[in-house]
Amino acid sequence: MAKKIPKGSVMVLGGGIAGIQASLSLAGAGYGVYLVERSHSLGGMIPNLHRIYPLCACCKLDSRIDACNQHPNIRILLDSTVDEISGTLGDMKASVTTDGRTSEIKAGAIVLATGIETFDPSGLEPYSYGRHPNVVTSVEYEQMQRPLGPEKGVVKRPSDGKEPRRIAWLQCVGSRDVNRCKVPYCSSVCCMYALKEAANTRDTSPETETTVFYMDMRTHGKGYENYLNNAVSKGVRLIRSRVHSVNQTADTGDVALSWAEENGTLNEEIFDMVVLSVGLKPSAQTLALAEKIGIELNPDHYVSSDPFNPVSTSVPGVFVCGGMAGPNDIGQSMGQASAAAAEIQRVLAPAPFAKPADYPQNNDLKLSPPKILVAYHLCGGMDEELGAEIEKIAEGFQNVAGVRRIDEAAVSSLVEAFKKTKANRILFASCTPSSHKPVVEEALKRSGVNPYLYDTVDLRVLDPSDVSNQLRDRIRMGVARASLVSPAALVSMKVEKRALVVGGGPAGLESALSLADAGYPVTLVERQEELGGNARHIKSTWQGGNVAQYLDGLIRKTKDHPGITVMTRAEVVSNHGSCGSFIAAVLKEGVRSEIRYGAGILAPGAETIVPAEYSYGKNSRIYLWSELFAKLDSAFIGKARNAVFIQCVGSREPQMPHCSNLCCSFALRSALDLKEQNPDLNIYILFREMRAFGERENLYRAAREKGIIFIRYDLNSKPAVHSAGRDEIITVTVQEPILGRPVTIEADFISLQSAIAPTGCRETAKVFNVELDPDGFLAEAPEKLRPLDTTMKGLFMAGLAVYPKDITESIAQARGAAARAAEILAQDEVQIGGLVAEVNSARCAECCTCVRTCPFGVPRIDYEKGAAYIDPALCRGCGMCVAECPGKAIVMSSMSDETLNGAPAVFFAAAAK
Amino acid sequence: MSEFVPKIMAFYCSNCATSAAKVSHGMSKTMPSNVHMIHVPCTGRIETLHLLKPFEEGADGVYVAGCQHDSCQYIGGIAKAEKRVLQVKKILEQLGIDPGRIEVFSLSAALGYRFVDIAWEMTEKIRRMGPASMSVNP
Amino acid sequence: MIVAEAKPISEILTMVKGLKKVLVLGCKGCVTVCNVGGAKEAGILASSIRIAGRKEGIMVDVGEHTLERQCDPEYIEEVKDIVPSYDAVVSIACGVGPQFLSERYPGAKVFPGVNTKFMGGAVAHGIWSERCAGCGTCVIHYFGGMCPIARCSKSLMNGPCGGSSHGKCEISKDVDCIWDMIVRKAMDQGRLNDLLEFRPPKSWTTARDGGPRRMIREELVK
Repeated sequence: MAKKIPKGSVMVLGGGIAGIQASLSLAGAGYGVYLVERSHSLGGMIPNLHRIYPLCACCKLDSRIDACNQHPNIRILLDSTVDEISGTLGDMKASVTTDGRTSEIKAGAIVLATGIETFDPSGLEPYSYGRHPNVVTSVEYEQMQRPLGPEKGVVKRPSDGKEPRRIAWLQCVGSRDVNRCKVPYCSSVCCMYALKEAANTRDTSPETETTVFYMDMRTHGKGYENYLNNAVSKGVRLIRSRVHSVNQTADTGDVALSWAEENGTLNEEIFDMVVLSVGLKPSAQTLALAEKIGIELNPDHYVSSDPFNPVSTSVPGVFVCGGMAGPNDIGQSMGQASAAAAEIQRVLAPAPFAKPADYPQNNDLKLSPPKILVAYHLCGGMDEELGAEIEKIAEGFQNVAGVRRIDEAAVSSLVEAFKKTKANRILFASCTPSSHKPVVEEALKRSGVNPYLYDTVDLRVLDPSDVSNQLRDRIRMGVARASLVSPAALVSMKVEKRALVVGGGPAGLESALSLADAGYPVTLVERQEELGGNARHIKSTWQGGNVAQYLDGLIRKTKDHPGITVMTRAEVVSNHGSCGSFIAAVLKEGVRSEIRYGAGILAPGAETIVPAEYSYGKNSRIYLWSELFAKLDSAFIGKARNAVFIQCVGSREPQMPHCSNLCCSFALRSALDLKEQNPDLNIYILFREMRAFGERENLYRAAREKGIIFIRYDLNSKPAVHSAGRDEIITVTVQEPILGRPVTIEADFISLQSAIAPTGCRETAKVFNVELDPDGFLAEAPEKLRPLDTTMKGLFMAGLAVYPKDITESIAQARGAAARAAEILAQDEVQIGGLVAEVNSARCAECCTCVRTCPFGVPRIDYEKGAAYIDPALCRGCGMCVAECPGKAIVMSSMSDETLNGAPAVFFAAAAK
Repeated sequence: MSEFVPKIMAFYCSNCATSAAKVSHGMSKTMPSNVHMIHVPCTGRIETLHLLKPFEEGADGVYVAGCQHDSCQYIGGIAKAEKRVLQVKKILEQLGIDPGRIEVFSLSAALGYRFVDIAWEMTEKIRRMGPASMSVNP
Repeated sequence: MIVAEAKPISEILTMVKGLKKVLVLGCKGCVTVCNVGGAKEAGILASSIRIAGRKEGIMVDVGEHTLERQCDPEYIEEVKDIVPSYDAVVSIACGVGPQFLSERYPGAKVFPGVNTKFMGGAVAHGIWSERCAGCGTCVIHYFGGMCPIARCSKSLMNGPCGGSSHGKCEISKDVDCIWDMIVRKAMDQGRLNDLLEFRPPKSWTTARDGGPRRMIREELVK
């Protein structure tokens, strides 16, 4: 089955979130990875931001950076640039310059993840940027908002240091502007980040007025519409207008904005400060490199790619993700990064740098009496004398077997110190315990003992004038805690090397193929008889790609693949087990079978609603978008005079608040195609916001150039559709906002862009015990920064069931989810248990308190045992049930009652002395 | 008589509150020595009894620092902690102890400066209240 | 189960005022299940008593123990060695517990730490609702499986009173009118006529009205 493919390591260019994710996915799949970053730290854009939308996750970036730093298969090259790439897939060479020295590094494949730059508005005279001190860019504004920024989180306007009370955001600066900036596309992220900045401003200083001037409010992603509604409810004012000029008012430092309302009325308003929501563009330095090595770019200067192969470039062996691939947000960038890893697994076999670690078994270790190795790490900028102080203090405590400083080669020096001191547990002191936890756990594993025999001491926020006392206090507590630590119960489970894919649409098919190509057998379960899902109703992608042709090929490849078992007319009816070892029961035409698998991908799709408005079903020429091209014949198109597209049918209304994302681009693409077939056809698109985000903006511009007429309507004045009978003439009446009066169109046909609803998600969520988001789509893992992970470890998600999106993004997600699943399938065993809650059956009163308290629904009553049972593979270790149990029957060895109840005595007894 | 320095115990969660600590550290803020800190995996782990014990041992104040409601990775941890703090406030009130001696705070990296600020605020507030109990001679 | 609620701590403090050595005694039965008298609550009450003592400058020695059940003499026996060393015992079991303790340890001061409320169940975590009045002659099968004695404010047996409004009882909008529910269920099942059937007056002799109750099962008695 497997054809011969070359073997190699991979080089990832760019250490932002996309590069980090690509490196972790690749290293997880067994590749050695060179992660090359131009600056002197990893993280890219995120560390410059103040919070992330929709849910802030910036605190989770550090742990990813740590994971890269600590991974034996990732080599990080900071302050490094790549000047040249040569060779072919499997045998590529990159010349890398670090600190002026150039070396050649071999790699089998390259991932371009060099990210974006923001638009520099200095050249745009009307915005006065650079001349007026109180006009700043959004990036500068977030710097002011950041608590670690120069202003310590207090926004002050540059001219006089006063806190601004009236702030205006101007959208689309360096976006959607061909004339002045030569940037035709929409940068896609600015509406959301402006809302974020404004809403955060309202949170921290409620007396500050925030106003966003925008053209179209583009909040098209997962949960974004809720974010918008929330910002409005926090008092963020939205004004639909592109501000034409920014004027300085005499000596006060205030800024006067002139703008026109939709009906033409001119306004002027004074603000204390103006924020320019600057757009994105691909990193200039990489563009030069891309051109040099012959990577094809599109007219917007992003790396050009096939709509059905979103992360591949024109050069085999070179892949792209994140900002270089287009104006993407964090979630999309991460999905693409994993997708790039999946694509590489198809064409390159992994060549690791390091062999998997070998863990000995040290059964002789006696746990009592406690003997603690106190280890410490002084992070950059910490006083060297702190080390001496720690040693002096720690040595004074009972139970301490030795004190060691840990610098380079943290794991091996910890292992050695652990052995030398004959310790049976570790107390690790550092400035960021959370980032050192994996190091300590790895060291304990390599010492052959339970990886949870440790505790930590936080060395941050110490008062330099009272260091000794504070340190002694913290170390005393640490020693007391470490003395009470007991080995957490751990079980190793064999990973079932098979994947389950639910859903036979493009997302399901793509992820199945990706995994099968990477060598993992796959079972694909589809409810319907036919494969293809919603894509069967679509003629072309917004870019113009032929969907039918693509889908035929995809279905054929899936059916022909020896590694894929396709089950149609089948349904997963139950699922149990945990990451690495699941068992699903599948019902196919009345026959029940069992599938054992290690990781799964949920892509059950979504459905378009059938509207009860706009006379749908009452006239034969009123179509849903999904049936438009199947039912329209070209002869009719040729003689039709007027066509009407109605947007947001059912979407963005109180009962279904989400944006269905793909309808705007569908309408634009279809209108352009219809216009091609019949140039005399008048096309009217009735919309609420034209969400032609990203490079879809080019379609919007082309549509306007072709004379397609756009009429905006509000929720309180929806278009009225009338027809006397099934085959009678249709009239559409809509309030024209510029004329300020209703207009009536006699339509030959109407396309209703009906909402995409997560119809099947509820059932899938129930069977697989995963959560849904507030809109009813599959929810992202609460660990955050995991856009393709469901709330159940080992189960991933892709396609419309995550949120409505186009085929290209679905494909990227599907392949990305496949790479995430492969990270699990690449392992031989997974460890379960550890920092989890355990039930002491003898004390359990079976009162169901834990069953009702657990936020993840893990505990259940085991009737045979007569006690509650908490599956260690599913428990997340929050301890809520431990705290709530009225019988004190649940224990958590990592955070015992003994520790928590004993802590005050440890502190205050010492303080009394 | 020397000035009263309140003994305070602080429970903080290993997620949001710890990233807040990073921010405070980055801002060179320093913790008052009278505040004794203990970290927990999630503030939902903290029991009513854990919050009473410090008072039993002579603390003058206690506080819990956890995540924001919308960002607890265990979904409802901070909400649980708030309810338990409220219960302890009721108990303290019945014991004739000012319920203001126990508080709960929601932190995040964005509110990172608060990690240290709340320690100083609690110290100042409790200092004005005076000692929680008489010293005991066993 | 028997549902109870914690007594105000101030009330318990009045009981144990001036005592140096107090035992808080929990029960693993109903009161653990309803989160009021198990090991966890024993710890909270004990700590509260210690803090109160500390505030007065007294070091009160408070012991904690939780029995399997306080409504069986064998389990009461478990603390026979420690009870005499305490000045008082605060039982946080239902009303049965402190009485069994008083009977077994006549020399001990025994205080109730909870108020025993009713027989009922948890309708949600933290919310309990009364279901049974212990009348001694169960008749719920006449009423669609719902007990009007326990659940009607007036214990009406023949239908709702004039205080029933929109399915709620006039005493509080949080109390469902059980007669409204009984009638609706009968209508849904098409069995409204069953409610019209004549029944003899209920005998209350089996209820509390017949005096303190005692039950003997000859086949079990030794």
